[in-house]
Amino acid sequence: MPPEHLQSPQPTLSPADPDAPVEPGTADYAPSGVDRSLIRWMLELTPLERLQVIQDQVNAIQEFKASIDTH
Amino acid sequence: MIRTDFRKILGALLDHDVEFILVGALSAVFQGAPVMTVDVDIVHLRTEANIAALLQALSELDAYFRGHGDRRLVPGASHLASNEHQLLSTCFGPLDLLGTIEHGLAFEDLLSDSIDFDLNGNPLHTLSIAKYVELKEASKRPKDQARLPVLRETLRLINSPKKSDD
Repeated sequence: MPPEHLQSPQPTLSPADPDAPVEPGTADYAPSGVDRSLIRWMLELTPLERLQVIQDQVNAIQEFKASIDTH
Repeated sequence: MIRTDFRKILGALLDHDVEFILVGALSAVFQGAPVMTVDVDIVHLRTEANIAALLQALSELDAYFRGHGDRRLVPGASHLASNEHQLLSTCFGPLDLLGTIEHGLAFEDLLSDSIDFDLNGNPLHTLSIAKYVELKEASKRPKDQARLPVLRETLRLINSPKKSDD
């Protein structure tokens, strides 16, 4: 194990109050394990930007799959 | 390879004045849920005039029933008038036409639970995430159960008062 000062900080669950402010560097997971920071990030986008995010992911996966299939 | 374009599918439907409600995972994406999906799910109004408009839009999208190999079976008016699900491929990706969804709910039943987003100047009726969660909570399907935690948390964050540090 590397020395303590070289170890990555371990993610910790956010406070029990789901709406409590989250310290920077603290992973913001709901008790269910859902990544709240990802939802907050999506909520900052416009509806059409959200659509574009998912569409780009679908196309990226399809292109990746096609590149594998051709090899 | 088909390049998925949700916006073009929805745009074609709106351009032909098709009355429909966007449902399924994409409706949740519009409202901020970080969930993946590869298809567009809609519940359409099953009147004669709307079915005619929908058929025109489907023709423009080169829609056919998916899963039949090289056979290009094209949906007809009788298919679109039924309460069943028509699973189609289009030139911009998969499109599912749902006559009804859970509990036999049809377009008319769901309209009051939809919210409108602007798409190219047209109102896009979208099933509210609150109703979507309600419907999926009643579902026993593993696929629906797996997605519920993200949907519930998205709904909770939408409804939670905004913090000063947000």
